[in-house]
Amino acid sequence: MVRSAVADEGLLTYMTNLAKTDTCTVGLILGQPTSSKDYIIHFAKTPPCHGDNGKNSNTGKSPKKFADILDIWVADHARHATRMLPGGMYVLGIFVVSEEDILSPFQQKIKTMLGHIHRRLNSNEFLYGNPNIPEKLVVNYCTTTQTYLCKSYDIETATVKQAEIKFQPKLAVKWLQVECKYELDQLFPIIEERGNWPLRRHMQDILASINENFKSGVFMFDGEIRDGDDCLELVGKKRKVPRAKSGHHESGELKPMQVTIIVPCDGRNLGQSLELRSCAGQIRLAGHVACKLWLHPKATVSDASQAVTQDLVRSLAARLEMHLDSLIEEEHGSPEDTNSIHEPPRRVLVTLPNSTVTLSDYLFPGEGPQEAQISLQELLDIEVSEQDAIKDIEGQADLTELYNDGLEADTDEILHRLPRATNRNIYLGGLAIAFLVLVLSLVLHFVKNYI
Amino acid sequence: MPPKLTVSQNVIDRLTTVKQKCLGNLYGILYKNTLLIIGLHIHDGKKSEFIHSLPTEIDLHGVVEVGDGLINEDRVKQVMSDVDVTDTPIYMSCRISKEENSIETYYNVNNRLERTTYDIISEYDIYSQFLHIRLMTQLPLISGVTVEQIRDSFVVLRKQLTHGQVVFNFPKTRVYMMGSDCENGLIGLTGDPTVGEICKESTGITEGCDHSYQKKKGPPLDIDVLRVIMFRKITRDLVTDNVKIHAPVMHIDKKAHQSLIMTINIDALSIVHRDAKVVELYAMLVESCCRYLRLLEARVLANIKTCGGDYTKFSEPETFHFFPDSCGHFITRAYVKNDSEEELENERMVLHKQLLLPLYQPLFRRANRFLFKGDVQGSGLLINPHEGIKTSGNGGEIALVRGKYSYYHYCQNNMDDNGWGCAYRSLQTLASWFRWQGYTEKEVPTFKDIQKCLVDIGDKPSNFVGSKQWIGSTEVNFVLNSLMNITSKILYVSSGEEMGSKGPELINHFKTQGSPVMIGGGVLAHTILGVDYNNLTGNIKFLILDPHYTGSEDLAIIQKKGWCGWKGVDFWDKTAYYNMCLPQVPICI
Repeated sequence: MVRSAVADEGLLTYMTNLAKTDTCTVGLILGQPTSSKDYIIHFAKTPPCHGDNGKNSNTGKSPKKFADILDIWVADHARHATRMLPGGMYVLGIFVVSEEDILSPFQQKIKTMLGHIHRRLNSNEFLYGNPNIPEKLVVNYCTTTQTYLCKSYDIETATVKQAEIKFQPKLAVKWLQVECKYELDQLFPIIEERGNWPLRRHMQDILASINENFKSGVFMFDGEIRDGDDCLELVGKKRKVPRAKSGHHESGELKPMQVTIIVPCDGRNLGQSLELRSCAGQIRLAGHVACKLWLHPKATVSDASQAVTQDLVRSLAARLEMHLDSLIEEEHGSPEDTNSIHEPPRRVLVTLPNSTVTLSDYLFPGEGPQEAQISLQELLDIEVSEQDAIKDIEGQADLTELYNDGLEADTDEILHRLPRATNRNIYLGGLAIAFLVLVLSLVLHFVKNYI
Repeated sequence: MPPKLTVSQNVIDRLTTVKQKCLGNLYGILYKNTLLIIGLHIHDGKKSEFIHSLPTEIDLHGVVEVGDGLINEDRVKQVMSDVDVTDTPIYMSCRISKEENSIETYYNVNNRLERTTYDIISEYDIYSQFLHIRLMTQLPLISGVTVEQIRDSFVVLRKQLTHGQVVFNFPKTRVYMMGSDCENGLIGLTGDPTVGEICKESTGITEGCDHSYQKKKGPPLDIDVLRVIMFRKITRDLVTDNVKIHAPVMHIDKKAHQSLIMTINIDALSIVHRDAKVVELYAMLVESCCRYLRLLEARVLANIKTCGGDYTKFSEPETFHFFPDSCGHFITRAYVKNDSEEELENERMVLHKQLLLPLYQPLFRRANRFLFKGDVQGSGLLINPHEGIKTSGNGGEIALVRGKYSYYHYCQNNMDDNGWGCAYRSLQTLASWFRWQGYTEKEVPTFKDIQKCLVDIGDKPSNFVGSKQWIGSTEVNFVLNSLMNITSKILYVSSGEEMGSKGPELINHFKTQGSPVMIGGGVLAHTILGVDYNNLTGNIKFLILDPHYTGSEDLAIIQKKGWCGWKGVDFWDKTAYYNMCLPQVPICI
């Protein structure tokens, strides 16, 4: 069977606009794969490599030929872009805008690049970077002939296959919207033998247990439990008893389906039924992860369940990665950090231009929509002008409250906020301003009383 | 209007025979303006936590006073002050007399005692109206190791249950009981069914449950138990105001500490009227889980206190459900694994007295636990295969084995003892009876144990171990005595015909001792489980359990082909002599 993909005509325009003489541009194809066809939602140009003064002689300049593009750079882009995708959406492959025709014959360079991407996306399993299909798409727009061509490449068998892509004007996919709010509040004891583990390893351990937990989950869509191979579209339909509130097919626009996940209480993670352990500490993970995702109209209930799981785990993995990358020092080295609160970045939703689908970005404490605008521009090549296109759906934790909780538990300890490489100043600045405002208002208050 | 009062026959039976002054609580279920008093607990004014041992929905509804029958109203009101589930607590006055005590009941209405009448209800009638729900699930407990920390962790655990984030499910069905959202909180059921209705419907809910569809007329009683498991909702649909929402944060505390990591195996019972709506079960199940946790917490805390800082002595708690015949309701007890039955004897003694139960037989040892259908039996052997066999039609006085035993017969555990092992198997059946009733914690002896024992006491030469030699009633007696400290009476008959004259002695044995009897001698060995002796005609029938059965554990075959069944005197060989070994039951609790 020939792999086929559909995309909005706008994306073809986007690609042709990238065509310049003497340059080669590479980008990522983002979308949702299905057994019959792939739904492409976005093309994202890989930003120019402002690499370290190393091997790449083309620093700062756009590469001329496809061969000049750094595989690792594109792979890294794929990883960053994946973090921003909702569950069910993936980096499906690459597009290349070049003078030469790179698909006939199929250049070896494509294989190595796709191989790099594949491995990079697999390096953290909780990012769910690669879909279950081993094929990656390659779309080549040849500026010389002004035509595009599509092929697919099977990573596992290293074979090139025929593939087709259709750019449709005003492509309107009837996406099914699914959303939920995942609630976390869990205590993970650090047993003594793992006391010297780096934080990153603890995080992977916790992610693994969360990921595992989803596997036994029962997913309800709008309060219904259905067979895994039922079409998601059937939810809310074909009810024998018409219900008063079954109103979500009224005005064309589909209301998002609410997902409820329940997991059996059988404590399988805990092993033995009673243990006394020496612990080197504990990690409490608490908060909400917002999930909003889109599924193609033929998606089944189990597709949806999987996408939700992937979305939640991916989002957690993404923000933990970003958080750990941002830490100045490996946290376990500093002895004063016996009691600390870590705030990984929070998820914000970004509406794609010309689409209902939203992608995610992550904002560190103190960051606002401006920061999101920058990373969106850089990583996805999206201009988001209106601030209302960026939705802060999770909210920041009230640290003073957590601070007090911490003090209650441990009165003689002081909580340490962790210094971060990025945004540190912004945040501290924020604190300073807050403090100033407080002092000012107090002063004003007293002044008023005296007068 | 105070509710109509009914009192369980078991409560009446115990109260009418007590000869000592005492004061206790009355526990009951209120349903549709009828109060059913089902249990009692004598506490003599001390604080009683007994309620945590009872199925949920059974609450404290009043007090009982056994004495001279004189009522001191002020004192009565004072002792009734603990009753908080009702405005009209019950006061039961029981006057000791030489024959049966007389019982009077009063409601406290607007601070005045009003005499009321009551109906007595049999156990059978109670359980035709009510059924049990058994919630089985697991909860993690991670806590510090001090008493305060553990207590706090239990509080947190109970709080979490009440946040509406738990979901209940009838296993293997898609019926879920949710705390809130969706219309009536039920998923997978339409309408507003009652508990009784979902038991009848082919919803699959009763699959794997302790449930009998065909209600037999009259006793023996089947106790219906619906199983429920628990889920936890990990998403939140509606954002309530008191929940502060924020993106995940991590609080990392790197302080070294001791941690208690425990998986609590919840096994909580509730009792519910068959007419109750399924939607009402949610709150009840949450409460049953909390009640169970309180019971367990008390035992865990007691245990940690006895450890006195030496946490290596800390032992896992475990709970058991008991259903003593003379109580007529479930009592759940928590023990810790390390406590031996001996160590728990004082506690049991107190409990027997508190419940006005006989002091001559164990009722709350682990072995006495109620066996739910579907509970996994370690040995896989059949228990009480004689149950359900038609009576002999002899029309006489029937006396049967009391309590549980396991059916041991030829060729079990891949051992070919066909032709020589029948007495060994009968001995094993006898031993299992003592184990089931809680008289011993010793394992049922293996063939090797039996042979070794007989060599050790000098009854047999050392080459007897590993041989295929027969044993008889005397050997059975020796082994029971040396391995389990059980003495037996030996009855001798010179021919099979003479068995016909042993009716009165066997009736007496089963009535007073209730243990199974081994019979052997010149020929084959069997187990006698009961007799039907007609003293008008002199005819006698024996309920025989035959150890010569070589097939699999198939109850239908065993009953149909008479491997367990009633036999006449002609069953015994006229030309052979017989010895019967009648094990005597020790007096203990």
